[in-house]
Amino acid sequence: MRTKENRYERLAKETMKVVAIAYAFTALLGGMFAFILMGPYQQFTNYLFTRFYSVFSLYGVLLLVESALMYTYWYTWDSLSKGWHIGLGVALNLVGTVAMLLMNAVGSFMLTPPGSPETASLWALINNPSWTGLNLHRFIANITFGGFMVALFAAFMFLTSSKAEDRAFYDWMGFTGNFIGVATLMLLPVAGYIYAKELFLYDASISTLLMADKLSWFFELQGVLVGLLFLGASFYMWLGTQRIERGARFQLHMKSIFIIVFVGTAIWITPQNFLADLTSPTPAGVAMEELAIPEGAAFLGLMMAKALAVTTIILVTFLAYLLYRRAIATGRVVWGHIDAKAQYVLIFLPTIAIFTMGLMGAIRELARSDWHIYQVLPDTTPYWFMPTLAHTSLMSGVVTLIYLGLMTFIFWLGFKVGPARGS
Amino acid sequence: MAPIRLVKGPLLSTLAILILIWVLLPLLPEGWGWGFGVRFKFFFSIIVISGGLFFLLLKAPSLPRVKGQGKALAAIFLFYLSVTGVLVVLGGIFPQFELPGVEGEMSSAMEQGRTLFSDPAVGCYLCHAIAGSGGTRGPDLSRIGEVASNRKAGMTAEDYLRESILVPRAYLVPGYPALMPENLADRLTPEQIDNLIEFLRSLR
Repeated sequence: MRTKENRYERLAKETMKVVAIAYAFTALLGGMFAFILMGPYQQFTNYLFTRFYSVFSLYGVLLLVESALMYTYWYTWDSLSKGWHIGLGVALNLVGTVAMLLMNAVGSFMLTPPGSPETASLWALINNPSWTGLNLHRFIANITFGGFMVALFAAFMFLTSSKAEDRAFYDWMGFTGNFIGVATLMLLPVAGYIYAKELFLYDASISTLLMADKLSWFFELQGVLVGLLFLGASFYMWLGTQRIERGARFQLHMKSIFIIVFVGTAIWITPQNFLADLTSPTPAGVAMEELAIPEGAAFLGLMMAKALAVTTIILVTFLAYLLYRRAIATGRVVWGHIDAKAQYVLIFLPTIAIFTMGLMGAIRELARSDWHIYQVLPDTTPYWFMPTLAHTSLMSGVVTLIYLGLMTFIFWLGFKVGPARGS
Repeated sequence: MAPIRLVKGPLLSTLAILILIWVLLPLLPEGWGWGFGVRFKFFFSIIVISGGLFFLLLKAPSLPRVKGQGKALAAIFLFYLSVTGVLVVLGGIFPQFELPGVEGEMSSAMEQGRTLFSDPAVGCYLCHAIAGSGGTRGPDLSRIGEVASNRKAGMTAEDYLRESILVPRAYLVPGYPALMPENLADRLTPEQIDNLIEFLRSLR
């Protein structure tokens, strides 16, 4: 509305076309998930549906409202005034956010139920000790994820477009989506710490299970993934200077940023020892000194060093963006005039993000150990076991590939099969 | 010569840091406490080599655009597979914990107590260490069988251990915060509590 540039309209319309198709798959998969749970986990699903009946009912209503709003938003795009159109968009986001808060209540309750859940009020069940932390983390992550999905779509379209003007548009679209994704990505570590702190205050043994015991190497892998995300974000900025006249002179400064990201990630993922969990014996013939961090470097294994490292990584990523902004201020941007590597970075980032989500989801579920609802309802089914990191990585990898395949199918269906809308 | 000039910087830098890790660091006096084990050296080396490869990537020529939608799609899918594949492999090469074995017939109350102590669902070991293995949030229990009878005047070792499990706030070992769960009486059966105490009393 402010600039009256058609590219914003096109970005919104094409993104919404993807959303509309993807929404149907979301609803179907959500229903499938619920039905699959009901079979082998009848006691657990019955418990949840009984305690959270109002929540699930409201969730269903909100999904109906969301669907109505979304199709109204899409089909009245050109017939309503821009004010009404944006208002519908805001309503769409609000309803979706409330729906997310409701399901977060159920998910967080499973890990941190309040004392005496049998007699607690519905509000006490919803507003359980980790609800706020989970809400914050997921709210921010939704924006990050949305940005990365726009970037993924733009990269797909760039790489499969034959026209230069289309590639110019999708280069800009990818930059815009990635900017939103990375800007909010920088807030996620803070939200993650807040969530972890809530878990620690609820039950310190959960924190030990996560950070020092069986799930500790899951967090090692998470550290690698987040380091890759920030490295990818800075690399994209570096590649982006190619499309700016005289932008290459900033690349040397950006190399310093890459070094800092590598060093920061190295500090962040340096383990205290190479034992898989707290009760693992040292391998035969190997002394503990070989596996543990030496005394002089012990600070590298402490949270303070890691917090400093991740803060530094976030700050230099912001610095990379500032350098890019400086390049724009002193040169002309020629959209589309960029190495195809940049598009693969825009594919790389969401791939890492989706895999990370799978891994972190597994961590959150496994933190309950053999409880459906922590210390309230045990999981006594024969399906319970604590999967290893290798098994979890494989499952997360499979899910990531299925998701990416599905999204690529949606992109192809929406834009390559018939004539493209909004172009 | 041009390709050599391009790779010289990253290659030499990578080599220099690897020499620092494998040759120079071990020369530091032992008292400084910077003697990293082989696993740590490999760990840091992988990070350094990854960095070197990344800096080589910066110098790589531009990627040619794949012409044709089919080929472009194939390239995209191949990229999905490659990135995901590397992550799956990474998850596989990190240390893996032993899967808990199927419970066989326990021969004694003490062994059942030991199993209970190491059960993640109960979580004792997450805060209490025995013989260097376990968490450090709670007191070390390596010799608890010896000290329990002297902790509180007039209390036997068994009574002290039972009270510590069921009413943990009744006595806090100095220097440790009050973090022990207070609902173990609800979570464990009387037999399990007896087995746990039997095991703890054996630790001398």
